[in-house]
Amino acid sequence: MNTHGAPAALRGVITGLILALVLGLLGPMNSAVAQQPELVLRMVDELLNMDPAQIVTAPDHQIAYVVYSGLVRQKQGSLEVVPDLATKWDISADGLIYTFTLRRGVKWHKGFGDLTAEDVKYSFDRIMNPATRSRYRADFSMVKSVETPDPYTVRITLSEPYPAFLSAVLAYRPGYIVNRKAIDQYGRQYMSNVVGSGPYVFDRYVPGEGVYVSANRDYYGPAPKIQRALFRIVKEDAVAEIALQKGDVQVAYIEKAAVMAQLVKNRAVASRAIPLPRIFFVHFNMNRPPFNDIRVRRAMSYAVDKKAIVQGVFLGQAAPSDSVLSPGMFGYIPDVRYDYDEARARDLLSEAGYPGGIKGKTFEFVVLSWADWEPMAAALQQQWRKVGINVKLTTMEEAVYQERRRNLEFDLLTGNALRLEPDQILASWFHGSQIPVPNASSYKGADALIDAARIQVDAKKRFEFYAAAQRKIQSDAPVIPLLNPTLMLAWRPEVRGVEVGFLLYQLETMSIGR
Amino acid sequence: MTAFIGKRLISAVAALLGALVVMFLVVRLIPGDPALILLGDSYTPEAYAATREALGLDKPLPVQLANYMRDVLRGDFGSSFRTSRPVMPQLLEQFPFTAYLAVIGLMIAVLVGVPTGVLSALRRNSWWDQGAMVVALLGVCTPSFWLGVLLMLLFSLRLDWLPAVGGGTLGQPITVLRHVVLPAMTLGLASAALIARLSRSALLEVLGQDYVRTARSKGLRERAVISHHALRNALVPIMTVVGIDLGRMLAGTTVVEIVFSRPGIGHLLINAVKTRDYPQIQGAIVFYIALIILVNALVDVLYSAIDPRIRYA
Repeated sequence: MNTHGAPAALRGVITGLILALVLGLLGPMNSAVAQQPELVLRMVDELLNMDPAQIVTAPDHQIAYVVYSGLVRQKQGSLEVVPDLATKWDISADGLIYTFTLRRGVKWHKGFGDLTAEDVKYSFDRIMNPATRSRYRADFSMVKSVETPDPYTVRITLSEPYPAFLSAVLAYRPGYIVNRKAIDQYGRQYMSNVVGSGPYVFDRYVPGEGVYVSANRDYYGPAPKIQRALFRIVKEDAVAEIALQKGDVQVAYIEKAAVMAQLVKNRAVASRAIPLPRIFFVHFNMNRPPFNDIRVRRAMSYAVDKKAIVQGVFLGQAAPSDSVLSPGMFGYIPDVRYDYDEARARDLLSEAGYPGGIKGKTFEFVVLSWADWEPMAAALQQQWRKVGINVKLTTMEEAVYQERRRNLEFDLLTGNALRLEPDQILASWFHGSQIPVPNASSYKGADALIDAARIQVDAKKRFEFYAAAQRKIQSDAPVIPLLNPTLMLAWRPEVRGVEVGFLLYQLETMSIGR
Repeated sequence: MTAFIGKRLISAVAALLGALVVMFLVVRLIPGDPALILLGDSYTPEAYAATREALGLDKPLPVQLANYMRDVLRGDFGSSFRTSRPVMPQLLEQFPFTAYLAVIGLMIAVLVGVPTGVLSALRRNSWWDQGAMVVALLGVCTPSFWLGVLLMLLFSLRLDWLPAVGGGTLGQPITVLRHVVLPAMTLGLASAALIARLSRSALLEVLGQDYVRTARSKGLRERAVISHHALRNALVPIMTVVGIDLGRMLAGTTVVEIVFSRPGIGHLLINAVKTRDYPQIQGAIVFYIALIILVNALVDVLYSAIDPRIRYA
């Protein structure tokens, strides 16, 4: 068959491989060749979903934020709600009827026509329709009806007043408006054919690579300066650090404090740590003894040296937390607090019947493997050991962690909440109706106060209810609020106008300059 | 040959179907609930039930399996839990990235490994031999994520020759090649080390055979002895390892694709495992198995090209 000897056979194999490769490289050339992006931003993970009725993760929210618009939006870096598709709105005196006046001439991306009140009605009705199986259906539970008296007016009637409606629902994830034709037309392919009306058009999503967007020329707001951008998926912080220095990525969130500390020292890269309305905490499983005993929960709260964790683990890129709400949030009032006090912790344990600590028992602390949470949990383990409480760490990836959380299979559990409205935190993480998720502590002590605050139209009274709810929760200690992390952001010096909202890049304000 | 290929095809399909059933059950044994991943940090019990129903996870396992196998036999590998898109088109879309990576990685492995091993065998116990084998041992032991970051630091950051992350744009051969060099080196160098060690021992063994002595005593030039008689016979075990190694390499692409933030099937698979996207995991594994079966069949055919004594009837 082959008479030229062994190297010829090898040559044959290699020639074949080269041929296959060249053919492979040439093959896809027929497809449209995309232009290079002007700006590359880091995204930490894949997209999960691009349907506003279903979006969950930070990457989903990031892309949705630049692609879609809502009636209103959160003013970046503040907790204030500002106009978006609606130029103005009226709220009836009883807080039940919201009437929005829409901007005229807003165009859908990709030639899908004008955006009208019908689109708004469709988007909200769709979330409320059980057949959509939207995870945000409960957020609209107080909505009685959505009506469109004319193409540029939307009237939303609530069954009970809900003053947080604008910020917690409409300016939040489920508030984005979708195009009915696109949803119907693309069906299961919608994820590859997203249609919005925001500053950027969703061009394509390449799993493993990222999301390409381009400037919306018909955008009703200030014209975006960057014409084409890529949100590139870079999962590892160490790789993001290299890519940033190399210029393969120009703007990046950093998840680990140690990597951020390196970048801060690097003069070739600009960086900033921005305070966030986010809180890291530890859930007690109040269904299991001894965590059903308030004295044990308080003792463990006093035993935690938050400042040491902030400095030692987060290298100062966080602030110790003293309430279940974040500083700056409406209603935040850190009256009842647990400043580090080992002696107090020991006394409380003795009072609870455990002089010298809880002997002969080791509790399971379930920790999500994410960012700096493992060293954070290890620091907590050491601090509790000092007062005689032994815990073992069970570190798990998200899929298993979520299952443990849902089934309440833990003694202690790491927790995290990032919301702008106090109602979103209190009515979800601390209300009896939300057991087991996200209320993994199974706490019901402040339900009445939270319910009262929720429907209180008078801002002053609402503040009082939130303050009272907070005092009650802090004193019952269903969780230990640990710290408020910052958003750690680094970018190349040629990128101008780097503004940041809460965990979101403000792509529309960025530009490239020298 | 036709009968041989036919037999191989039947056993390949049987292996694939068997693997599908095993994978179907195994992915469901891993703890973690796909619905919870889709729902995030806050949801109602109704939303949870609705999501499980939408994913078909509310049905008993045998029913799920029967439905899945029925769809597969019709050529439908299901849709991703995450993106709702059919599984196979997504895999095919990503396949070119993984294919370039694996093929160029393999070329690096063969082009570096075989000559190194051959030289080591010919200069047995020389400083070259000792040095190359120590480097090869290090190469076999080096974890690819570490090697990848080192290469990135050197060639991207320090020397500024090649991009650190990404896969390039399909249809632009130069960018695709520039993006594939570092990941392929990461993948290929570890295999090169293995192939070098194996080539050395295979060639040494052949060089001690009677027919090599006969060839030499016939007065053939040493070059002809090595290339026509020794290396050709040594290639059979090397081919086997290269074939097996391509399978290992395809698996290795998972780590390399994550480190270099490259698209590809490995990246897709890791992500599917993370989000418990059962149909996507099953699809990706079947894809890998099909590739490995194909490569092994190719290796079998190549045997007969290298060694005329091997004939398939």
